[in-house]
Amino acid sequence: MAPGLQRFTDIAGDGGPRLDAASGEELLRMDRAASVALGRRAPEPPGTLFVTTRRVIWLSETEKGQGYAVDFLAITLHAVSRDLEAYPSPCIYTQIDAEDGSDEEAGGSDFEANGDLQLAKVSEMRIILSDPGQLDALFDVFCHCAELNPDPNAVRNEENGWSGGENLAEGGWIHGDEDMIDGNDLEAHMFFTNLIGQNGVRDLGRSVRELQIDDQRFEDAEEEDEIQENGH
Amino acid sequence: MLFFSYFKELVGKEVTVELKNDLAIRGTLHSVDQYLNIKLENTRVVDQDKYPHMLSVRNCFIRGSVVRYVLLPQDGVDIDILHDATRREARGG
Amino acid sequence: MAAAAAAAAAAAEEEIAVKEPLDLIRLSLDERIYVKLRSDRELRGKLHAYDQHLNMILGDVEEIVTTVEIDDETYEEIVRTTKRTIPFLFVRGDGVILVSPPLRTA
Repeated sequence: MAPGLQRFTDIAGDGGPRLDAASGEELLRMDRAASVALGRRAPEPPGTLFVTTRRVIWLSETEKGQGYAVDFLAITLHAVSRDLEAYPSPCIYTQIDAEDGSDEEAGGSDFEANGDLQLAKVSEMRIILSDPGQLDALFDVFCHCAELNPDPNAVRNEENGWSGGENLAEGGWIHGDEDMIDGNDLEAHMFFTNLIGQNGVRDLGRSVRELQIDDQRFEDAEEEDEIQENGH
Repeated sequence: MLFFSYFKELVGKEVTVELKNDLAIRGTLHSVDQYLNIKLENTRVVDQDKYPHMLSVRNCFIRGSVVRYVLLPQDGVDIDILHDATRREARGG
Repeated sequence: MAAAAAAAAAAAEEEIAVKEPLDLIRLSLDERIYVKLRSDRELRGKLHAYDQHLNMILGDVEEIVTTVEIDDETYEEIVRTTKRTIPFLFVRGDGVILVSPPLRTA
């Protein structure tokens, strides 16, 4: 899981953010006089927005050397919002993969007191540009960058034709062989764990999947389902 | 592959995308990519009590990994085609 | 040694019968299945499509969500279930914990 919103202070000589050139990070877009609003806080005084191939960085104009950054990996949703009932300024609305217990604290009064600790809990960020006409273009750049930053566990569907048993094993599936099909008793209990694949999991223990197949039950599965439902 | 192809066929239809954080967004499917990232147009939030401030956004990009469900339109599901595609994919085709 | 070889041969035969777990799910195509998801969600529906990630399309779906709240005063657990039906549903596989034929008993 990518970290959520972070403080950013790594400023280069020209006043811009120092990028991670070694990993190929490039600047794609810059917007001056851009504000960000974190959680339910009021927008920050205008600053400069930098969109790179890896993340969004915002640097304050009023507090030199201060800013925020969030990786595209952590931006789970972005949208153009022009509904002035929903928010007083047209903006790019983003949701951020934040630590649990986010919303209330993030926008709450204890935000300032806890400072950086609370930044990781910010689950929403709005970006307000001086020229709202640029929002659609910024939206498109965000889409492009999201696709440049797929989840580390993601598997491209195109490259992912059905794989046979061996390939599947290589793909991270583990079979519980002892419990596999027994010739006479067609009841099989299988446990298999998906270690990789698109099913990126935070808690491996919970990703253990149990597949229970009982062929005797198959024949009248539908009927049993109804019995069960009636039983409620 | 199966679902990437399936969703591409569904472009232009109304769907409701339900996220793992319980946000449900209804809109016209604009595009989908190979990671099953989803772009919607003319969207609105279904549960407005929970996310009143997201009432309506014009375009919305949703990262595939945060999707829990996509509620599909009745006319967007051809069961025979789905069964065939699933069997073909299962055979390694 | 011989026993081990026999066991290996038997295992190989099993491999032919059912190459992998997902072969078993294929038998459920067009049948009602039971799916358990994270965050205490359960689905019952007809399986219309799936892939190797357990992404699925289900039809005539009944979803049951179970939530447990703690009563502020008595500290008792209050279990609530909400039910809804959905005509056609795509389910992303990364939330799936268990797939099975409908369970015999609730």
